[in-house]
Amino acid sequence: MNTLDLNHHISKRFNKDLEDLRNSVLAMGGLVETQLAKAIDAVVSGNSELGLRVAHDDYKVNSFEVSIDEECSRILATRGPTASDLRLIIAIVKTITDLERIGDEAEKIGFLASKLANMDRPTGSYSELRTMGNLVRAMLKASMDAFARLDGSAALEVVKDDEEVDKTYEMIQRQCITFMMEDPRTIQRVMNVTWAARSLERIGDHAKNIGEYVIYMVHGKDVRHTAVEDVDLDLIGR
Amino acid sequence: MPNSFRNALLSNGFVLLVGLAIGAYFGYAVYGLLVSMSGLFFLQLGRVLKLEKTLHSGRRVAVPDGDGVWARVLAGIHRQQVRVRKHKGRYRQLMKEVRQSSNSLPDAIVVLNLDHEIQRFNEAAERIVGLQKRRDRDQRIDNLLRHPDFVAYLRDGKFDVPIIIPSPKGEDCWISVQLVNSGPASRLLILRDVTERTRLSRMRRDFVANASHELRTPLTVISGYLEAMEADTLLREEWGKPLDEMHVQSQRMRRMLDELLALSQLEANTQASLEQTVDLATVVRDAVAMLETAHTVTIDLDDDLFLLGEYPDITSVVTNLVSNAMRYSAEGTTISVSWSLTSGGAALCVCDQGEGIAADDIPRLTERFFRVNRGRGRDTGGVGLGLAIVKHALARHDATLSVESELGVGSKFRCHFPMERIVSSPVVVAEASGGASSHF
Repeated sequence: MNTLDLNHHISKRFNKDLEDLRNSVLAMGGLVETQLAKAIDAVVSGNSELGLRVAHDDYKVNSFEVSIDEECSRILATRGPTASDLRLIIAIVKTITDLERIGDEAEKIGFLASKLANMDRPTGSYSELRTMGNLVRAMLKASMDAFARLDGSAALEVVKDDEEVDKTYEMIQRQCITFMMEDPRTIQRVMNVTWAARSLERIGDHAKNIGEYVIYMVHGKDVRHTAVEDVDLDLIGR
Repeated sequence: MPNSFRNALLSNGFVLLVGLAIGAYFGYAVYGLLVSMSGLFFLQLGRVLKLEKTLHSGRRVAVPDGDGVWARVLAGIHRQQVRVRKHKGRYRQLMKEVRQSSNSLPDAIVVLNLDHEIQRFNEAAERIVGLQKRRDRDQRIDNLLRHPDFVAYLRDGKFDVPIIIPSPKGEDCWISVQLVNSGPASRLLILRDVTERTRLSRMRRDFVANASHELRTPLTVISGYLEAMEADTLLREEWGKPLDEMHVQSQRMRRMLDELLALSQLEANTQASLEQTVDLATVVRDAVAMLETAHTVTIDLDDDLFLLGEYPDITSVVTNLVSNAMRYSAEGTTISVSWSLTSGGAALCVCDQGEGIAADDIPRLTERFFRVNRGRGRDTGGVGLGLAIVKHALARHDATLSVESELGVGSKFRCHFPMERIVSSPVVVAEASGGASSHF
């Protein structure tokens, strides 16, 4: 029950279909990770061109979502999967929605980067966004790794890491409010920074969701809307 | 063997005879024979069972003394066991050495099967890309190394050159990745940490860009004063020639800095956009019209071929190639420019009837500041960066430059663009950020 072995089917085609499906979800994850990395890089280095490129490339993420969605429906319709296979498909359908949203947020950050690039740069050159961005990137990477390895405990770590991101977000917000109060001329610029931080915070939430789907997929246990402390650690196999 | 076989036959026959004799003595000869037969049978069965048990447990069989059939059989099995154990030990030692040496390699090695599933990897692979022992066996490598460039690399199957992707380990770390066919059913993935190399080349690029940028400011001041001095008629009488020379040299220096800056920008950007179409035929006509010359220029252009790329780059490619052709060939000779379809794409050719280039020098042409004939290019106003710019601008468009030349006959510069970048009608430029801004 606890091992999701994809090679247990009598039909080799079914095995291959599931494996390919998982592979394309992870390929989509890789694309989204790259988009996010580029978007953060564009903000921090003030590279307007890179930001616009990220925004433009979002269509690739979207087309991934559509094709994976279709493949999931096809498998549901033709194979009628049960038990762990069904959980896998359900988790995939949810995961790609979150990945697509992360792609959208990265697109927004790309746009904000191109706007910010054309404004005055503060002395810290957005190092706080870099810090938060790295946290979020690590979360997204860890959630995709947990998905690849079907690793429930790593997924639980991702769920826990979201708190750290939320704290950083709050800190940036306070900082931004201080800037705006000190000098109202910076409001336009600082607003963009808060938007970017907001997007990063949303990405953290989506990565957390993916972590929860992984736990569901591996253990068959829904841990959404449960405080992290209450998640039964024994159940997660630790 | 026949000897021990005879012994076994004799001893078994003897037991049977004794059984028969005892039976006959009591008047039941047949029963006596049966009892002795079954006694022999159970004795052998017991030995077989014992052997089976020993073999099953993996222990070495004990060889009994004597020269019976059983002793010989057991001795044979024993010999085999010893031999197998010795080989096993040797192989284990060999495997250990192989594993140790692969673990001491600085580069990560991952053995994949043909489906790109991980079979084995060394310790560097754990360190460089964070693979996990045991857990990641049979996992597809692109499930863990998910960078789109790598996924495309695996899919396209062109493994002869390594690619460089960001390391999954963290920000601003880079790895070079190459796949090698290592056998009929396995492939080797070699991963190398190239963070240091990538950083160094970026530092070099940044340095060149910054230095050229910084040098422009003092140069502007100098040429400003020079212009003021040239306007002064009194000064001109005495210093006319030096002033002219200074003016020419400061202009040259400015051009050099501009080109260095342009070159470092070209290097920094990777791929040219695929959203714009460049009307290459018009670019060539404009460039030829702009460069006044005493040469005969013949053009043969296909007006229905458009290139997906960026105007500034393509313009500088065309201008550099055509002005080079003019610079290095005698006045009055013919220069021909053509733009046409080829088998694998389209090509822009610039041919001259100039002095030509020695075969040894051709590979070095695109090096910065390389000159075939020192001093020769400087007289004609060249900076020495033109072909380097051409090379980098073409690389951004996935195109290649090939040069054919014969001393005293002329040279042919050919830029080959791949089919993916060629279209037969100008694409309507799609609004790159279409609809996306509505998110705000």
